[in-house]
Amino acid sequence: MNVTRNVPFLVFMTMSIPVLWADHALVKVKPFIRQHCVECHGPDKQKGEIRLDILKHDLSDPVVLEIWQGVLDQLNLGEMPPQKQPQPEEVKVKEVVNLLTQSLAKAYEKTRSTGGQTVLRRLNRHELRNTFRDLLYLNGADYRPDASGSRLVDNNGNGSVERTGNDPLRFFPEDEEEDGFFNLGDKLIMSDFLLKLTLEAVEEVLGQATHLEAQPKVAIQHFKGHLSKPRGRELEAFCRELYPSFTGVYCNEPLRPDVVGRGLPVSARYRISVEVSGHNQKHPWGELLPTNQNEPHKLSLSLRKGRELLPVTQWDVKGNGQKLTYTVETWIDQQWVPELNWENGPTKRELRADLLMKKYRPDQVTKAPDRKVIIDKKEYDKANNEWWRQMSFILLKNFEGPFLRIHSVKIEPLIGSWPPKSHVALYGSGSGEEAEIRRLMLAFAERAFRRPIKPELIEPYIQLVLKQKVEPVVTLPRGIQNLNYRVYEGQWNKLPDFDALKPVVSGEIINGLIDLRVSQRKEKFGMVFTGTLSVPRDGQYVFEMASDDGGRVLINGEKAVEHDGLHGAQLKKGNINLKAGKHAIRVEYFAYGQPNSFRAGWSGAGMAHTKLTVDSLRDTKNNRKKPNQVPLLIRALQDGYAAILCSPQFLYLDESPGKLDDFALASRLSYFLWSTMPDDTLFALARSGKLSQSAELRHQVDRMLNDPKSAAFIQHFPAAWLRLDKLGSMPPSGGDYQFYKNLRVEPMLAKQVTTYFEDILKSHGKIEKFIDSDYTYMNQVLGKWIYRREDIRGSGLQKVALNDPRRGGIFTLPGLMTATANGVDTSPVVRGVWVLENILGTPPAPPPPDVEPLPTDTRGAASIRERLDLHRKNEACASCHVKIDPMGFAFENFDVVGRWRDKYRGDSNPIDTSAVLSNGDKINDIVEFKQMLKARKPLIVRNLTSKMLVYATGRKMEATDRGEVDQIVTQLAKKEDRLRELVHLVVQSKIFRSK
Amino acid sequence: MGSKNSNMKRRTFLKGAGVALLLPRLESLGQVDEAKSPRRLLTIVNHLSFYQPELIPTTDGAFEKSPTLLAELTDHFKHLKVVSGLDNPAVQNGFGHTPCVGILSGYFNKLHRKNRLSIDQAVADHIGGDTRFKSLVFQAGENLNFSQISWDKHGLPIKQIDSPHKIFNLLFQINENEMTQQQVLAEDRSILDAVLSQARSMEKRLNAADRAKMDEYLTSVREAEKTVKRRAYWADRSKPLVNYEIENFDRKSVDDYVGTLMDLAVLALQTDSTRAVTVQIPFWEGFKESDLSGNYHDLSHHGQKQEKIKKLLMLEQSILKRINTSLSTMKERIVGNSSLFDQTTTLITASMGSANSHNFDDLPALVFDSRMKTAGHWQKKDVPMSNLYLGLLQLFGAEQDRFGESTSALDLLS
Repeated sequence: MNVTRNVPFLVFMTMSIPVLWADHALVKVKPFIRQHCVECHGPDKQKGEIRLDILKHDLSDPVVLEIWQGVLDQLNLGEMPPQKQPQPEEVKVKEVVNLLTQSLAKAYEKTRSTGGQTVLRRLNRHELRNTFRDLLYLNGADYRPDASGSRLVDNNGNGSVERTGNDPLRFFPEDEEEDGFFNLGDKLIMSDFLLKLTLEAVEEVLGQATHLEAQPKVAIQHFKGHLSKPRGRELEAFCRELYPSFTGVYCNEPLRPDVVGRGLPVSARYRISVEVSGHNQKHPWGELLPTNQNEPHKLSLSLRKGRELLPVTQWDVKGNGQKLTYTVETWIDQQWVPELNWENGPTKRELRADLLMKKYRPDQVTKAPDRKVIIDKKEYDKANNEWWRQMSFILLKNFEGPFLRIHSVKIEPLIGSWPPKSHVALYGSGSGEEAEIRRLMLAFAERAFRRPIKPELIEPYIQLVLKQKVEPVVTLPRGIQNLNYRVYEGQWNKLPDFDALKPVVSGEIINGLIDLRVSQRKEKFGMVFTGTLSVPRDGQYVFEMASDDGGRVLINGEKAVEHDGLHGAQLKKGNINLKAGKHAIRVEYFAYGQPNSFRAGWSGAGMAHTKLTVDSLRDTKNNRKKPNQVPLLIRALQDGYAAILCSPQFLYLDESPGKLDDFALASRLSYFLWSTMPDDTLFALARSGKLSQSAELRHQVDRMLNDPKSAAFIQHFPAAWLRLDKLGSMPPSGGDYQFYKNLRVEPMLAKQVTTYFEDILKSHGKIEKFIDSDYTYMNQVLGKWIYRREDIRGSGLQKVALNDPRRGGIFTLPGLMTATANGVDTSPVVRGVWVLENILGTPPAPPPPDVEPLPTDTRGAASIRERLDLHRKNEACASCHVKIDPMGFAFENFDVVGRWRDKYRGDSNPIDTSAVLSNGDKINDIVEFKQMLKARKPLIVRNLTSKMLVYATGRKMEATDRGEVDQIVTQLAKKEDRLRELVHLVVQSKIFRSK
Repeated sequence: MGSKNSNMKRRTFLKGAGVALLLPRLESLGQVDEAKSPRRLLTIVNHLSFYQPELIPTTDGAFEKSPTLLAELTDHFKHLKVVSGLDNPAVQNGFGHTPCVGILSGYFNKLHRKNRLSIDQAVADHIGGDTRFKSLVFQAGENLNFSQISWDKHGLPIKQIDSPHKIFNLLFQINENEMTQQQVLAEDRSILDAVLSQARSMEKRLNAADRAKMDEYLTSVREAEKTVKRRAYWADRSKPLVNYEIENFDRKSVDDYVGTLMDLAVLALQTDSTRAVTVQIPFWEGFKESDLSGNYHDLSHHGQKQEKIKKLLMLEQSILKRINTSLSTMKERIVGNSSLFDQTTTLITASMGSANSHNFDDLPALVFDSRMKTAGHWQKKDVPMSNLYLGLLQLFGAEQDRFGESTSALDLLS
């Protein structure tokens, strides 16, 4: 067969089978091959077992493709033809290299094609987490719409990975990524490993949604006066003595109420009210206490747990002395602490009593004690402290600087109905009747599968529940009624006869849970608790206790469990038969020395383990793993729900080819803008068939963008568009960059990019604002460390006007400059490729494999520019690098963390940022570069459109989509290229509305 | 070194234990085929390396005059190949001790989790199917940032257990949690069963591309079910009985700590609890011996001072002594119809060429295998470590012609 004529007549267009595809362009390469290659790779000789004269043109054949790639690589490297053979003209080589590069690029593109369809798309990590949240009505820090989820973080760049947060998906591996997108249906894979993790995560979230414990009672906490204990010479410390009834906040240091130091006791919604007055917004001490006197004091409220900080809100407090109460409602997870901060207050460094006194009260400054005069260290310290005290007192008595006064803080829990919605949605009344089980599971499955289903679809799951012997769930009355306590003093080796002793203190515990702390003693004491226990029905009950030291539990005077003597906390159990009704409970306990503790609980006759003490014997979270503690019905239903949540209809977005039906559309819309399942409104619209109407869609998009859940889109889409995922892969460290890690700058950089995007989206801004603007966002840290500005105060990002034309726009933001650097060096090549791929949407051909980043002999050329100049002299490199390099030079003024620099380190010459574009235009610096980008706005808009379509549909755009993309771009131009209109046009497009 | 008396005591005790050890009911598990004994792998990595002038012979070929350190292993010279000068190109980047995390991976790059698979796990994936644990990784010392060396095929760290008591409990003690585990596993199985039968209804109406994804899903469910079954199988079976007790040992003593872990490694292999054990002897500031001034890390930076090197050698000698004892024990212990040593390939290597200068090339590797034809030393300057790993992998029957950045396979049995 004559192979060179092997051109197929038929081209099969199918969805998944690689298309048989011959590239006619390759014919043009043949003469070159015949002239220079066939002698050694032809009919006579087949060096390296390669024969090129009969090499096919069908690049869909991986073997053929690989050989062609080899030809290209050899030409690029200049390895072939060998030096001793006649060499082809450079122009000829260039021509062939270009031809081959293009043909191969097309072929690779084809092999990645999904035929213009979204392939059955698995929910990725953050989509899955958000869907768990909405499906199961979960709350908490790990479920915030903008939560980045736990990541495997390599903090030290040494492979020691740790997982962050309590995200239920913390053990999941990173999702598969392509071109910065983590939601492409054909890329996302499932494995047994992932499925097992999914099952475990499902069990964990079902545990989180289940609330078998009794309704928690949380006291309202109302703090007046000083909230925290200040240290040393802080003005706050002296203020305490002067003004015991409120806290004065003089600088922007976080203020946490000491009483909730270890965090709030119960995860719940809370209302926080802060009574505050601002003072001296206008003040004469501006020189030493520089504040922006035109703006009110900004008081922020955040939540903290360890190093994690979640901003909640910020209040503007006018500095006019008026007392006001600010209130906010927010969910607070157990162990998190509310934290107040005066965002734009002076810093501690500025607020030194001695300096302020010397400057503003010079006549009242007394001489500070002299170390040379007072030799004794103790004596000196004492005198010195006294002097500070004096100075501070004088200063505080007539303090003319700005300050805030916190008069009180109130934290009220808002626990509504009990059990919470998450529990009731899963278990209803807990009757265990078949009809109720069927009803609950069908309702759950319809929400989980995001469309109406026939009951028989989930019959296997219902059977899974029904085949287990289920009985009604007994809910327990909480704790002990009329719980009274008596405290005795003494040191015993075993429980004494308390009734023969005289208590020193006695009282009642309202919440019904035994608590040793009411004794206010640490050792050498004994306690007796008495009260009434309500037993739900006849049966055997188990009492468990861990007591340090001796303790016993008596029911109706009868020993239920006892562990007397001196010992540590060990779990002891005892059984007792009880009739339904009220029974007297008495608990005796003594503490010899420290430490000491007492925990107890009971269970039996169909009811779950319930605690009798403040501290539980059991970890009530994730009780799924300890089946014995969970009532049978709950466990059986959890099995059924777990099966639903491991089903393909839940884990994948189920769409049928062609135009999407209303339910598929609801899901696509919701995963696009919220990264989660549709809400009730979207479901209702889908059910009534109204969602697919254009006007309704438009209305919904606006509603969804205004919803807090849109934080997911704002976080993930710009990240994919601009490759923010690379941020953190090679973080700068050490030396001059130490601040990057120490001040945890990275999350701020990412937030800065998304905030910039968010603002344009929400304010109906134009796309060209991405190219250039006269503002940007920064907080104190970014201002100081990146922009070298001292006038920015506070941790929250704020819009800041710029008078520097070099800094505006999104593309030069430090987060992106860091993401396009490697933590050590910047490279015009990397940033140039990034501009072509992510901003202009004209990606260069991939570099030839096995080629070092700078392969040509560049010895003797010192600067990156010289090296690249040499690099471009090489024909093989030049064809692409004449396009790439000029796009990167303008960014050279931004170092690896995006700070401006005029010179490279260790080089006295200014950085040369000029470049000649492949069309001959010359640009000198970043300002001209932005001008150039403005001139290329249509390209930028088309690229953004295409990227947004990819994100919205979960598939790559292909040649066949070009028409529709162009149409969107044209229509968008009529809407002044406003970003929000782009979202509308994307949603209305055929590409979005069909599979 | 430490408390010499207690060392002696344990060594004798161990010999006794070898005899008194009650064999697990292996035959009832159907693992040990009398005709064909299973192959096992013991990997030992000394983070701080060895003082190579006293470890590596100066000439290639059969051992003639053996340097002090190597002499500690004289008992097993017949089955030992020493390969020196190996290179781990992927470990070149980084500073301090951080690159050491990639020592067992033929390739290490934190950007590519997929490439992180370490050789012990690659082998375990191959031979670990029939035992309670696919592999066990021990570590003498706290898990510090750079001491993670064992990575699974997903690039995730394998738990490196540092507590001998935990290891012992894992291997031989009954855990109350595992009883309830049974119930959970049974539930997981029925969940996956139900999912599988339900999922088929979705499969029917899919087009070709979607069906391929669906297949991937269904395969995952089936595979996951198998794993659950395997765990249930083992949860249902009692653990082997051994007549071994962990004596009090000094966690700060290299000698004591390494010795205890080596005992447990041998026991784990002997009871066929696993067929791949990795022992890592990490850098640990706290390591010191009571009659030796200076700690291990400090001594490793000897700066060519003879006095320091002398002390360092004492520590390294005691480590190798321990390993030597364990290898001897393995020869004494018969499992099925051959000795444990006969069934086991042992690799000793180090994360650095020299801890004094922190270089990551010039790595030593000591391979023990009773099947090898010629023993001796060969210098393989600049040959990638991956070549040795690939040879090892092929030894265990893997049909692979690449591991990490290998260029070819080192023949370890020639």
